[in-house]
Amino acid sequence: MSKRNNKKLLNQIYSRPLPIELSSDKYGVAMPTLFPHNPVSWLFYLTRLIQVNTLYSVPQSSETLIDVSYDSDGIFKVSDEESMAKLWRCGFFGKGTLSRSEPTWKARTIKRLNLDSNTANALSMEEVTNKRRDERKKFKAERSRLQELELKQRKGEISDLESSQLEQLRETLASLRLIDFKLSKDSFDRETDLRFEDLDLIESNQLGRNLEFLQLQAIETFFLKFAVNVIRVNDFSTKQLFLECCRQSGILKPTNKFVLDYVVYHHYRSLGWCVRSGVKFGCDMLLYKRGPPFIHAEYCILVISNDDKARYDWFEMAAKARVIGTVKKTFVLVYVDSPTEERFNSILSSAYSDEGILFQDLFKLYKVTEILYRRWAPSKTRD
Amino acid sequence: MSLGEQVHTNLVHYNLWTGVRLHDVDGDVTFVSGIPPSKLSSSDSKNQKEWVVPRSLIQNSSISVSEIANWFSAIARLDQQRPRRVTIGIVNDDGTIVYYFIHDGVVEPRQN
Amino acid sequence: MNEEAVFQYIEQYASSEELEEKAAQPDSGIVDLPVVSLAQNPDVLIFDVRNIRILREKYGILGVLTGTLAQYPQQNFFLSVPLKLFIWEVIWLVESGKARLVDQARYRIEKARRLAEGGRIENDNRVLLSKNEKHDNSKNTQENREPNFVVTKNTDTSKKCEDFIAEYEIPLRDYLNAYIKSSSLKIEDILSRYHNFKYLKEMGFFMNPGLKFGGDLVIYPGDPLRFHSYSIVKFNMVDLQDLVVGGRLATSVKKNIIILGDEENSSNDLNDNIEACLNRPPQKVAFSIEWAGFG
Repeated sequence: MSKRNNKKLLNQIYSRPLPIELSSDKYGVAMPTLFPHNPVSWLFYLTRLIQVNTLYSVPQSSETLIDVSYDSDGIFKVSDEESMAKLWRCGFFGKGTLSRSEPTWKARTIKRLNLDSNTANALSMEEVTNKRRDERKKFKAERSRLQELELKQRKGEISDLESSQLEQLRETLASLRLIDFKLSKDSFDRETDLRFEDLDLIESNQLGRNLEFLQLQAIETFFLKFAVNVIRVNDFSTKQLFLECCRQSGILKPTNKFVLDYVVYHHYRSLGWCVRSGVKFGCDMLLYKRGPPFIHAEYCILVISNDDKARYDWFEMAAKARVIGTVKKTFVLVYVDSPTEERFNSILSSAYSDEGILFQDLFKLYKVTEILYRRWAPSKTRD
Repeated sequence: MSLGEQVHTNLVHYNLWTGVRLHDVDGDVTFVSGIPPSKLSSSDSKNQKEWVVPRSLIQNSSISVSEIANWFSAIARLDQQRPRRVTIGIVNDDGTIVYYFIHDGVVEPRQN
Repeated sequence: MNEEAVFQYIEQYASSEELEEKAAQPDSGIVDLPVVSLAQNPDVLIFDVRNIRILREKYGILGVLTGTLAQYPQQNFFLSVPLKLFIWEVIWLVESGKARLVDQARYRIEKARRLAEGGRIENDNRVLLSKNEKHDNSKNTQENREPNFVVTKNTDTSKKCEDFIAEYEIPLRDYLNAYIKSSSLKIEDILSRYHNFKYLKEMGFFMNPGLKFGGDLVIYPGDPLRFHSYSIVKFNMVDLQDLVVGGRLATSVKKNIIILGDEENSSNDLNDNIEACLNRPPQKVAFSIEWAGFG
């Protein structure tokens, strides 16, 4: 596949940056181009706008809420395959527990265990073995015939008919060798690499169940619930989910790690960035322009609280900066100003008919400031 | 799913280990033993049983010398011999598991 | 002679004194470690290149160069004398009888005083000149004669210096007491670091500070100028976050992480005195950590 085709395919698969549906996508209506100097285009735009807003209802994703399960182990799981694919493809949420990032374990395992019914290899193990043996027998028979003819040729007793047969045999043997090699490789893999553990997976020659699930981080889960409202976590309300997420990272306070992380996560998601865990580079988040399949992350985000006790010391900062520097990414310190405990608590405890509004009001109290950190070596940067 | 179970599943179905077993010791440490699909280090003479200690990156992020020493002696009691190395399986916040060898004593870095 | 005059004298002879000191150094292999000032700044700073060489080549002690190269003052990548020694290097050198600590401030003052006195009384040239002058211009007044004196320095002081440098040797215990007053480290931290250092030193490693790589020490199988393969040493604890992050880098540049600490129940009783702690090293345990290459 050419690079361009590949890119086109990627753009097609990952065309939606969030798992939500827009009117323009659903009804195929697009807003007309607006020319500021042309009053007619204004008029056209306005009528279209009214039209779209009155004639078409806003697409609701509520009827197809994705189920996220959560229990005592503190892991947010998405097990339905379609949902897994949707969350990954629309915004790169979560991580397959048995894959590097995109949940591909099922596909990999089917391939590894030769369980795909669409390919010619979808035979039972015994069948494969028998087939291979037959091929082998045939190959041997042809080969002995070939050797016989070759001997005749060397002795000079070969007839014209036989010499044309010889050429033919050479060709068939060459192709048989290829088939034989391919077949034996596949069946070899299957026979020797099949483990007891794999037998549990196979039910009537098919992969019995998908062991993999998509694991969501707390901030991702809350974003999908509060900001885009496409998931259902057990039967939690937004507030219950919030409290549960806070509990995972300590006591409920304005500078709770989850709250601060979420503020920053939401900030960058709103600005169109794809945000993923930065733990392997020692920071809190990574910012991707579009997503992992497209281009490497450019920015490493470290969330810093205005709570003095939770600050990083100089050594930690230097260590993080050193690592981030070696992977050629930019280190961004994100300072989060949080409200006082009273204001935080008063909003959380006041009665709101819509919990969405509650959290809107709560997160409005936070302020985000970004500072770029770069190591500067005076002796190396001079001319 | 406990930390041990997460590592167990990862070893069996991601890294394709065989004979993977969980060992609970005194209720506080869980060890996972198993055999990798091929030997893990080019300096190993043969493919052998490996011992893995699951740890969470977030919950308690530092390990001390005495803790590691305890793992070695606990495995020595389980296996009748002190292992040459223990592998630590670190579970990240996003579910990724990374593995590190802990060799007994001062060992020179592997030449890649 | 008042103190001010002594200091002036030191300044005047500061440059030539270094050369002199080289001649004064005994060849016993015991290196003099000059302590800047026991009261104000108990650092060991070595200016003598010959001693730096002995420390590096004979004893495998690297220290760290801290001075600017006079020819290239605007860079700090290559540095020059003085060589600053770490406290654990100092303790190890003194404890194993390879060096002695010298109270440099007091020693210098005394030396300068002796030199000044020696110069005035025993300088033959000066005596000779004044004799000649007496013969030739006996009428000359005292003021006229003074400028004719040529005062040359008495260079034969080596034996004298050696004789009295021992008087300014600082016992290790006094030095440590002075050191902890000016340091942010506690005595038990210093001793624990010393024992860690000693453990690795006895295994034959060369050591540099590890801050640049996020550790406590960096070890080399030989002189780091010749060896590139090394390990990062962390004392007592390893942070998993550092491991995940450090491991990514470590495997690509052929290094691993060594975690080194005391065996349980063998650490020193803090009530013990310094000598007891120095002499009774705790049992050390070490483990080496590297990326497993799978997963």
